[in-house]
Amino acid sequence: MKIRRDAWLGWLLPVAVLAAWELASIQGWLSSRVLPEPLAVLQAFERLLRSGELTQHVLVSTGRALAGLAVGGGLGLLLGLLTGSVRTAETLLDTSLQMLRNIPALALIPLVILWFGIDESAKLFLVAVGVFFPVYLNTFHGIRSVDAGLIEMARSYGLSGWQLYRQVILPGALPSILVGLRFALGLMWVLLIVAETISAQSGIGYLTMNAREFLQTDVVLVGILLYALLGKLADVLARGLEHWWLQWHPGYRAATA
Amino acid sequence: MLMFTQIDALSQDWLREPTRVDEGPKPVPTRLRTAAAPAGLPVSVEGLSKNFGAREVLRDVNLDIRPGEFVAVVGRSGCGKSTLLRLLAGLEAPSQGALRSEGQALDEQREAVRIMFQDARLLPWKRVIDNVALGLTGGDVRERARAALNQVGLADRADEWPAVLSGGQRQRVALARALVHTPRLLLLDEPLGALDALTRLEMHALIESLWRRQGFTALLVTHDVSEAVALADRVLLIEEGRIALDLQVKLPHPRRKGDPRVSEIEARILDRVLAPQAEPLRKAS
Repeated sequence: MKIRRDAWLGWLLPVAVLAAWELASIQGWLSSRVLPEPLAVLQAFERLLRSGELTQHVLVSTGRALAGLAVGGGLGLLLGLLTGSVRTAETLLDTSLQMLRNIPALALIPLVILWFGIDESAKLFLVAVGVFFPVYLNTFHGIRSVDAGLIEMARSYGLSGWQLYRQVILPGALPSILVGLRFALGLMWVLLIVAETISAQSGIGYLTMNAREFLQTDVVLVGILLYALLGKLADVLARGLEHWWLQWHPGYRAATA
Repeated sequence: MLMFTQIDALSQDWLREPTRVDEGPKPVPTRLRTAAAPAGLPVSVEGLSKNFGAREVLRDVNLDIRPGEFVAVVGRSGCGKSTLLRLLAGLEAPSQGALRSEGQALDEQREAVRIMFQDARLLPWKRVIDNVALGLTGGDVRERARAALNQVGLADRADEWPAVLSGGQRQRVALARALVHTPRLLLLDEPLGALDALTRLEMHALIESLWRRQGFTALLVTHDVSEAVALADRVLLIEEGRIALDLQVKLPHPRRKGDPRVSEIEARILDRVLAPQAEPLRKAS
């Protein structure tokens, strides 16, 4: 009962804002060049969906985001596992990676344009660099924080090598790795937006920048809302993974128990 | 002596049971050897010393443990009793001296030695049954794990996560995990220290009955003298890295709490533990 009322309360503010916004547009207090009315945004959304433009751009953007995540996140995971597990790798690599970590990915844009021009590889590189560090850091930290007592126990029960890694170390590091993934998913969209805004011939960024040229504020808003939706979707998926993989963890089981 | 032959007979009987269960798929060679050999592992500790940096934790410890014997090691915290157990478990290497069994190094018998820790150390991401099956090989792993869980009375919790179990239940799972390997030497590192009094008594009865049935050699490290006297054939007191007292407890099992003979032995050991309290002063001068 209480939860129900709280959930309803959560929607009170957004609905009120929408209503105020619609009212302001109808009354003419808000120029459609600044902000179109919500209904117009909805209509633009429908129009783009019918023409198939929307689907195409969303697919292109999602493809870029996932490719960047796969490359950057995959490398981060591998290097994190390596430096977390092998002392020599840590001494060899960690200092350099910690230095690079302090460079914001977006500061690389001029260099990226010089290196890759403005085509697909530039966008991929930017997203990959951005998602690399959260995954790397959290994987490294996760491996290091696996309970030493559990490793000792597993060794004394005859586990070693890959078996020890798969049954004890990896599952122990998983909560931390998934935290890294969630950070990475958030960063992934931010970087993609920037990359697509610089220059693109397709994707949500292209859609909005193109609409800006023609003062189609409704389409610009559709683009912004799409980013919000996709970001939310990525978060929901990450939560789903946590629920599935961390069923054993009392902290993640609240809903299923 | 008579008691030991009885235990051996009992344990042989018990051993035949699981081997029959195991015979369906190909029996693993090491298990065959275990079944053929006497159940309890003898241990001899020869001139054992252990230093951590400049600190001497154990000094020239000599000790012979007979097969199937239940030995309890008591002492104040930091006296070196846990270190002795960790050395026997192969978790630490001796600074000097040797650990031997049946004419060879104890290290050769790793598969026959299992340890139960102070905290249960269950893997939280494995269900209870998979925790028990940890490190087992062969085709009938789950059946063996289930049988072990049954022995500790937790067969109905097999598919739960460890996080939902109580402290006592977790230690019972840890006991099942140790016993499923049919150890010949079971090392218990204060496994009941964190449990409430009633659960401890239950665990005492469980450990004792499993020991009597399976006939493994048991070494229990504890700070609780009454626990030591309730369970062990022999109580060792360690003081400043040496064995200060080696006492046989010749009372029949199971021992009732409040039995005057038990209380008398308990009092003798406690007197000895508390006696040298004045000594450090003398030593310091």
